Order: sequence, then C-alpha cells, then structure tokens
Amino acid sequence: MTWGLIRAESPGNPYLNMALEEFLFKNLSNTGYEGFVRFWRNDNVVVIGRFQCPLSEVNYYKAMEMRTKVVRRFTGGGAVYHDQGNLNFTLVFKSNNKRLPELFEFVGNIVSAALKKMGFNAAFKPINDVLVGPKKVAGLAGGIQGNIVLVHGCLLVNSNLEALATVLNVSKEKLSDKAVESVRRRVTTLSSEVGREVSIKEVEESLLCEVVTRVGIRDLQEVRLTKVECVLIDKLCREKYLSRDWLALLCTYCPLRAEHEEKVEALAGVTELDKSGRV
Amino acid sequence: MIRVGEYKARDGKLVKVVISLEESRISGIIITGDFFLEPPEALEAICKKLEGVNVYNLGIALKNVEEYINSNGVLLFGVDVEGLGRAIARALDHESDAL
Repeated sequence: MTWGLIRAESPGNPYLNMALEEFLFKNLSNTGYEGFVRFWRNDNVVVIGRFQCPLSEVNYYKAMEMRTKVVRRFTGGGAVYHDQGNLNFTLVFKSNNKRLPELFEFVGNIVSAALKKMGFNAAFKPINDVLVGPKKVAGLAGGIQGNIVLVHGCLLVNSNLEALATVLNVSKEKLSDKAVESVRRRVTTLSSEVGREVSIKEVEESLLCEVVTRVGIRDLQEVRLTKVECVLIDKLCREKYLSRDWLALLCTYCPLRAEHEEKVEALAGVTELDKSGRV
Repeated sequence: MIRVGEYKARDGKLVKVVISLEESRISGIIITGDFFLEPPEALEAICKKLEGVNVYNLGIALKNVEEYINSNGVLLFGVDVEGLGRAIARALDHESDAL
C-alpha cells in the first residue's frame, strides 16, 4: 500500500498548519493512502495541548511583546514553542494498537534512531520525550479515532531557546521531578549539541529514511493537495483554529474566566498572517 | 471562593484544577494540564461528576470518575484519578493566588 508524503506547510499561519493536521487525521480513510508522513514548520508560535489553559502556559506580556501567536492542538500533551528552527513531523496511519503510550514509544524510537545515525546520543524517554544526553530535544503528542492514529512531534534543530524560555511559562510543580530548575536548562537543540548549524533538511532526510524502514513503507508518493482539499482545510482553519472559542476552549466553565477573559481575547487577536500562509 | 491546585506524579504529567467553592460544595471545576485523554470529550463528563459535590464526599465522587473511565473505554494517561484527587486536595488546602 502507498503512503503519502506531505511537505505542505504554512509557517506564518499556524492555524492552517493545525487544520491540515486534523484534516489528515480525520480523512485518511477517504484518501486511498495507507498512511501519511508530514514535515512542517511554524514561526514564532506557542502550540498548547488540548487540555491546557493558554494563560497558564504562555507568558502573556512577553507573547504580546514578541507578537507570538498561540494555537491550541487537538491532541493532549504540553505547550511547545515553534520557530523555523524547529521541525515538526507527523505520522497518520491505520493501527489496531490503540494505546498511545506504545505508539509514542514506536515513534519516539524512530526519532531517536534517526538522531543516533546522525551521531547524537539520543534516546526515547517515556511518556513522550526524546532526549539527547540528559536534555529534551523532541516531544510527542497524538490522538486516536477508530482505527486511525496520529502521532506528531516537534524537534528542536536550531530554534531560539532564549525566545522559547521567555515565552513559555513552566510551573514549579511541572519541574518538580526534574533535576533542573528551568525549562531553558532542560531543553537543547541539535545545533547546540554539536556546535555547528544542523540543517532542517538533513534532519528531515534522516527521519524520513528511518520512518520508511521501521514502518515498512514500500511505496511513498509526494502528495499535492487538491483545490477541494485546500478549501476544506481553509474552512476548518477559519471555523475552528482561528476562532477565539477554540483557544478559550476550557474558559467557559473556568471560575477564573472573568479575570482571564481580556487576556485570552488579546492572545486570540495576535492572528495577522503572512502571505506564505497558504497550503 | 476560588481555589487552585496542581499535582504532578514523578515522570508523569501535570494536572491542575481551578475550583469554585460555595461553603463546602464544589460549584464549578475545570481540569487542565499536559496529560492525555481519549476521547477528549470525556473531560467534560469527568468535570460533571465532580460538580455539585460536597468536599466531604470527594472520595465517592472520585470513585465515580474512576468507574466512568473504566466502563466507557476512556484512556487517561500521564495522570490517574488518584493524581487528580491530589490536585483537588491541594486546591482545597489553599486559596487561589492566581487572582
């Protein structure tokens, strides 16, 4: 069976990037493909997990100052900072295994194997991290719907870690079982580990090679989205990911909503999109 | 009165609750965090099981949450119901400093 390779991305429009993720997840069974592999990037965005509060995860004042966009994923897990030095990867496929921890292990081992081949001392660390040495370099999230699973993740290739540490809030409780006291010391990039600029392209090639081998893909075709698909993805983007309601998903019932409302509105307002924002 | 509590198990995920408390009754609650839950819609059902509960009956309410999860094929990981209970207990122990 044929797998589809998707390189469509809209770094200036993270809402559209997320809409494409959901579209692939919800529509795999209508496409005739066995699965999809996707590589994509965002620029200056905090992506929060499905069950997170934007104001807990984002340093509001810094995000406003840095014009950082905030988008909610449809998958669980934690908040991450994306710039163009961060490579996102996605696997969507049919599976009878409906245990997310095992799916994370499967994909985490693919990522760590790809990095090992590039010379990094990488390892998957349950629940959903990939480490280089003692530091986190990638995180995974995922969802299951029927017999379709999606696992996506982000890999810090040469991201701006100062910006990451500035705009993300991490509670003391979150770091309570870590040996370090700040997110800045807990994460690293591939480039800073080797002391040279590692390119997105070389990481993507290494990851793709490992995915093809470990998943057992015999036929991989680059997918061009049709006009109809683009219209549907754009519709999902506008109706869901660009909406204030989706960002404020959990606010409706929150006892702190009166105090938070104005700030969530302001974060939802940072949505001007650049012209590369087309899939 | 609004209370906030959070809890993270070792090598687990963070769970945070914001509770509005009327005397000893939980009149509103939201559960947030970086845990995983499938299907995601189950979160609303879990909150409903805790709303209106007198804090002295929290143990029974948490058992109801556990039963709901087990009997509906809900997958919660990164945190368990005991961890959720700890976050709630911490919230009840101290008032919100988030205001």
